Amino acid sequence: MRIRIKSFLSVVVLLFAALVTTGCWNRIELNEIAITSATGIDWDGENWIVSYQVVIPAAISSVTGGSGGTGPKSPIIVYSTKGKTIRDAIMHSFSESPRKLFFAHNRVVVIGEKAMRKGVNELIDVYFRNSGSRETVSVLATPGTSRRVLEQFMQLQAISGAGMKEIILSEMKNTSILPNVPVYQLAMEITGDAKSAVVPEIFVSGSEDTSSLDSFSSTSIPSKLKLGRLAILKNDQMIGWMSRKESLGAAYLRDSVQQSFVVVPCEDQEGKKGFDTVQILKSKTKIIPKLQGGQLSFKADVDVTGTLMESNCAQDLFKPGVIQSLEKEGEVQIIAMMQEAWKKGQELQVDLFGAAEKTHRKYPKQWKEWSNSWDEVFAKSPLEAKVKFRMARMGLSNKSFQYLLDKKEK
Amino acid sequence: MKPAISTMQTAALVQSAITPTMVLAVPSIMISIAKQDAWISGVIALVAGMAMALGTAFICKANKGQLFVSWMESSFGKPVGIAIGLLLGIYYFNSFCIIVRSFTNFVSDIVLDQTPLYMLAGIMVAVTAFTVMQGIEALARSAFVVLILILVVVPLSVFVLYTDIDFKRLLPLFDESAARMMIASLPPVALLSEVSVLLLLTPYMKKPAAGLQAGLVGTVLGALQLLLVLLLGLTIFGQQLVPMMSYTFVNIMAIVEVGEFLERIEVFTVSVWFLTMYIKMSVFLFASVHCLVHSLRLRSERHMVFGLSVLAIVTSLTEWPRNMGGGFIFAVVNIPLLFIGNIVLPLLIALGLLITRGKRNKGGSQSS
Repeated sequence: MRIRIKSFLSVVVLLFAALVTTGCWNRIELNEIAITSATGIDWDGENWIVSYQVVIPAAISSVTGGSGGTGPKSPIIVYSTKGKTIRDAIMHSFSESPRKLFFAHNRVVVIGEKAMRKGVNELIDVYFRNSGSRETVSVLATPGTSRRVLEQFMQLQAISGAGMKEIILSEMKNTSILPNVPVYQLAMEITGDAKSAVVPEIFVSGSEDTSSLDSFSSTSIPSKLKLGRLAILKNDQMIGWMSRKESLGAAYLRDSVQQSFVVVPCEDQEGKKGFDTVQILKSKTKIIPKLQGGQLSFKADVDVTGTLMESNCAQDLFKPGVIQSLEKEGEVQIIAMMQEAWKKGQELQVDLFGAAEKTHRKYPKQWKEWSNSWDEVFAKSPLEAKVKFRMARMGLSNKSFQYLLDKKEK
Repeated sequence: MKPAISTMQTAALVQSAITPTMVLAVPSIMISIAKQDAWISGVIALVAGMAMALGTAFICKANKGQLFVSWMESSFGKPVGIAIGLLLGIYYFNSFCIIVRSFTNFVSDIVLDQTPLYMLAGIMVAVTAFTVMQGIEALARSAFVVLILILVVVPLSVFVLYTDIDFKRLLPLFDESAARMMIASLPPVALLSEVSVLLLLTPYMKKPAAGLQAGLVGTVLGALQLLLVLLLGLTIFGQQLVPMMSYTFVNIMAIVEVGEFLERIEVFTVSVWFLTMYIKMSVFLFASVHCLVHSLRLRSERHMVFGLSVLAIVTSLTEWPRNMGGGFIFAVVNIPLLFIGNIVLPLLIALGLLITRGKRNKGGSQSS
C-alpha cells in the first residue's frame, strides 16, 4: 500500500514538473512573431522614427517562382513607429502590428543622416542591453531617410535586408573600399582611444523608387540600392563623408584591405598612354608612430601583392623594367590614396586610422598628455607612406594584345 | 560505507566550485579596474589561488580520514567542533543562496526574461537538491563529465573566435598602476578561495594525500578559464567596451559568425556553462547539508536537503528585491564573506591545529 502511494505521488510530481518546466512564459510561437530583416533609424528633430522591414514568409515563395494563386506578392512589408526613445518607438509597434517584432534575424540597421548627426549612442545601448537584438548586425548610413532604403526591392534577393548585408560583405571582400561595420565594432571604435568611427553609406541610386513588384516586369529596374561613401563619426556623431577613393586609402591605413584593385597609368615605348588594372590579392599595413624633437609623425609601411587583370598598353611583360615600372606606378597610386585619406582625416580632425591606439601603445607616458587633445595632435602629425608593391602574377598572357597588334603593324 | 572519489573527480569538484561565478561577472569588473592589464591581475589571482590551495591541502593533511565535523571535534573538543561545523554550514548556505540568486538573474537576463524568478529559482534548487540526494560520488562523477565537456568546448570556442582576436589590444603592458592591478585581482582571489571546500571533500577521497594535487588542478583550471575570458574580452572588444558588458563571455560568443551557417553559438556555450552552474550549486548545498547534519547530529540528510532548499528559494528571492547590479554585488560586495569563510576560518583552524598539535601527539602517544 505504501509503495502504491509513493508511486502515485511520484507520478503526480512528475506530471506537475512537466507542466511547470516547459518554459511557458518565454515561449515563442512562429505564428505570433514578425521577423524583421532590416531596421531603420531616423530622427525628425524631436522624436526617433524606427522603421521595420518585416518578412512575410508566405509571400516569399510567390516572388521566387513558387506556386502562388494570385501572382507575386510583396515578400516584405515596411512600417514605422515614433517615440521619444528608440525602445519607446518600438513599443508603439504593438499598437499597429498583429505580431510581436522579432529582431534575432535582423541583418542590417540603416541610420538616416539626421539621426547619425544626432548620435548613435542610444542605438548602441539598445543593442547591448537587450538580448534579443544581435551585436553582429551591420550598420549602414543613408543620406535621406532610412525608411526609403528599407522600402526598396532588390534584384536577385527577395528580402532586401539580407541583400544589403550580402552587398556590404561582398564589397568588403572584393574591393575593400567600404568596411562591414557590425554594431559591436562601431561601439569599439567610438569608445577607442581616437573616439572616432566609420559607417558605410547605402543610398537609392536612380530617380524613381523600386518599391513595387511591377518594377520587375521589365529587364531593368528604375533604381537600385547602392553602396557609396563612408560616413565619418566623431564620438558618436556623424561629422562628414569620405569619398570612395579616400575610403580605400583609409582602408589601406586601417589595414583592412582583403582584396582590391588599382588602375595604374602605363606608357609603351612610343609614348602611347593607357591603363593597367591590377587586382590586389594581399595587403598588410604597419603604422609606426615616431617621436622626434617633440614632433609626432607616422610612417605607414604597406606590403602589397597583386596580379595583372587587364592591360591596354603595348607592353612585353618579359622585358626587364616593365613589371618594375608597373609596380612603381602601383606604389605611387596607393601612396596618393593613403595621403589623400590622411589629409581628409586631418581636415576633419578625426583619426580613423588607429593612429591613437598605436601611439598609446608605443608612447604610453606621453599618451597621458596627448589623450586629452588627440585631435589637435593628430591634425599636426605628418604621414610618411612607403609601399612595397609586388606583382605576383601576370594572368594567362605575358604580352598585352595591344603589343601584338602594334608588332603586326610594323 | 564511506563513498570514495578519485583525485581528478575532486579536482573537477573544486573547479566547479570556483569557475561558474568567476567567469560570470568578474571579468568586466576586473577590466573596469585594471583596463588592459586585467589579465595580469588574473595571473596574480592564479598565483594567490595556488597558494590558497597549498594552504588548504596542508590543513587537510592533519586529518586522518575523519569527516570534517568529527575531525574538528576530535581536534578542538565537541563544543568548538560543533561551532565550527555550524559556522561553515551557515557560510555555505549563505553562499548557496547568493549563487542561486546570481544564476537566476543570469538566466532571467539572458534567456527567460518573462519567466517569474520564483519559478527559475525553484527549478534550479529542485535539480540541485535531487543531485545532492544522490550523494557525493554521483556529484563527483557528474562534475568530471562536465569538466571534460568544458575541455572540449573551450578550445572550440577559441578556434571560432580566432579571426577576431588582436593581441595588440593588450598593449601597452603595465599601463595601470600596481595598486589597481592588485585591487582588480581581489574579486577572483576571493572566489578562488572556494578551494577551501577541500576541507570537506578530502575525507571522501580514495587517496586523501592527493588533496594538494586536486586542489591545485582545480584552482589552476578555474583560474585559467578566467584568464581565457579576460584575454578573449580584451583582445576582441578592447578594454573600453568590456566594462559595459554584464556577462562578458556571453557577449564574446555572441559575435561568432562563420559564414551564414554558424551564428548565435552563445546558446551552446551558455548550455555547457549551465551544467557547471548546477555542479557549483550542488557542491555548496552538499557542503552546507554536510556541516549542519553532522553538527546537529541529525540522522536524515534528506530532510535537511529539503528544508535548506525551501529556505534557500525563499532567501534568495526575498533578500535582493531586484536584479539590478546583481553581478557587481555578488562579485564585489560578497568578497568579505568569502574571505571570512574561506580564508579566515581555515587560518584559525590551522592555528588551532598548530597550538593543539603537542596535546594531540601527547594523547596519541599515551593511547598507543
